[in-house]
Amino acid sequence: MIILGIDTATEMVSVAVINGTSVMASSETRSERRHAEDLTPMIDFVRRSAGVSLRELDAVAVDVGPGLFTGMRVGIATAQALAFALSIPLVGVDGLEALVASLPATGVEQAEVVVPTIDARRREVAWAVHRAAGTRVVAPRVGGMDDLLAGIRERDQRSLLVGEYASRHREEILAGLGPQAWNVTFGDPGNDWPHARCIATIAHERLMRDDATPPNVPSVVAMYLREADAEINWLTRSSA
Amino acid sequence: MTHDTTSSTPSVEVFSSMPQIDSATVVLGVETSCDETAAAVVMGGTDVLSSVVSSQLDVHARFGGVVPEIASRAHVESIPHVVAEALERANIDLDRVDAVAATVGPGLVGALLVGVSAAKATALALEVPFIGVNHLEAHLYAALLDEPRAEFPMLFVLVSGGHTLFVEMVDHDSYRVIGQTIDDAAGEAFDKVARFLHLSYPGGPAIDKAATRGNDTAVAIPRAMLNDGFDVSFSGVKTAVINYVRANPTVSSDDVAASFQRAVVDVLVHKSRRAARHVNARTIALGGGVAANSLLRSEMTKAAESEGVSLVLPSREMCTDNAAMIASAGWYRLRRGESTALDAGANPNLKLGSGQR
Ligand SMILES: [Zn+2]
Repeated sequence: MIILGIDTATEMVSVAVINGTSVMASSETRSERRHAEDLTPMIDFVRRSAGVSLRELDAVAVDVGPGLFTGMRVGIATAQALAFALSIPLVGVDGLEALVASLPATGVEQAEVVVPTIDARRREVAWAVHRAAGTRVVAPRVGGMDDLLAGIRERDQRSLLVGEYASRHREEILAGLGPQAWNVTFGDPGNDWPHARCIATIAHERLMRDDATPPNVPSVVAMYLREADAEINWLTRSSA
Repeated sequence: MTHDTTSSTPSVEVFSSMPQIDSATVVLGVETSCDETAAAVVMGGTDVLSSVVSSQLDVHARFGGVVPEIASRAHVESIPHVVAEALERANIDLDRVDAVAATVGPGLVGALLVGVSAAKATALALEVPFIGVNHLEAHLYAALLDEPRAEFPMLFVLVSGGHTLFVEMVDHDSYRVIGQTIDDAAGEAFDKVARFLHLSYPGGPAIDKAATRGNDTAVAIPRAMLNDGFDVSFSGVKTAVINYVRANPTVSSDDVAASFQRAVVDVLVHKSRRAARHVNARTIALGGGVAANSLLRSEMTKAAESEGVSLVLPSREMCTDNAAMIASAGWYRLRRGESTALDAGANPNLKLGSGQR
């Protein structure tokens, strides 16, 4: 099964073509605000590197967030259009889950839980908690650093923190946890970003597991975890 | 084989052989620059096989205007269904599509990027050219859909919520903006006055309707004619309305709407006549949401007649944003041998004629 993976939900843009469990080709680039410019040519580049035509694809997988709103929409709009034009299934994958999937088996076994983090901007972090074995115990949520620290403290389990947010705020997190800091380890910075190859791999597992007939018009739902500002203001005003 | 590459500028495929562009060439158009998610299938530049517009009016109505983040969210949800619907109504398969066109600007950047991304991906999958279209240029092609043989030179008057432009067109790809608003766009003035009079949103149609019941000489409103050049101003008209209503709170809002509309139309028609003479226009073409205004349509018709030039008016549904005009504009570009590289993004501030000759 040949799957195209797309990830544009963070500052990184990545694209991968996998065949079953092996990566045929992949590419990534840091793209602060050029997701739309970079993505389409990268898809063409990666499928050429893999030596396949788009018509040979069996499915498209895309990171639906959390992350940068405009970035995730570029990826979703692209993936939806490809799946529709090629009449193939589309799978939306949570970027936090992709971060967990990207971890090498060693290192994870020392931890009881994995806490993937993604920068949600405005000094906030999107995070979740997964058991080291894989199942999720806390659904994706967004909040300040305090929210994340409280979540870790409350569990009081050996936690492996991964993702660019955790790497960048390592010192603050350790200081914030105080005496409980010994319970926490950090992932390798090589696993800072959800990657298209993990997105595609998760999609592959899912497609192997359940064989639902894809809808005629493939679509996925973005995971914003936050209302639009105007919506927030309006709700506050109307409840006041 | 694992082939990991970090590349910042991947190469872009250039279409070596452009397809034959003729009356059978089918263009899929996509428009997401503001609050309408639209897709259309147009054959041969003017034959509209389908035009689907999914309006977000209801979503934005309670905010009294378009909220960019909310618009972008609605676009990404609607676009696959709108495109599928356009193909279904046109009764064609995707493999009949010869090119995909999308608005690249001007507009809301986050909204534009949804349409651009979807259109580029579709073009890539179908191995057909992608054409980035200037939304302002496309409004002209809305007028030409019904009158493809309209003659140049042409004066194109674009009046919408975001723009008020007088454009000299020597030919399809040769534009010069000769006049514009120095403050509010015409449609913006309509919206603001409508809101002030507590009429419904959007303001244009509400004023048009109220005006039919009112007396257009009831309120004296000064016309800012700005006699040098072809620029216009509407903020004075708007302020005059607001001051009058504050001083005369019992005035009928139908009368105010009628007087205001008359003032705006007078300015637009007066400037259009002068501009048409200046560029020796054989045709005046109207475009944009305000071009749906009944009084503007009838007064422009009279003015064109007395100037001895022909007038092309888009149908009312083609005045507001749609994708048929995008597909049409795309077809004309394609016919000139133009297409857009797949590393294109959106340009929220795209001007008419800028780097587009
Ligand atoms: Zn428009």
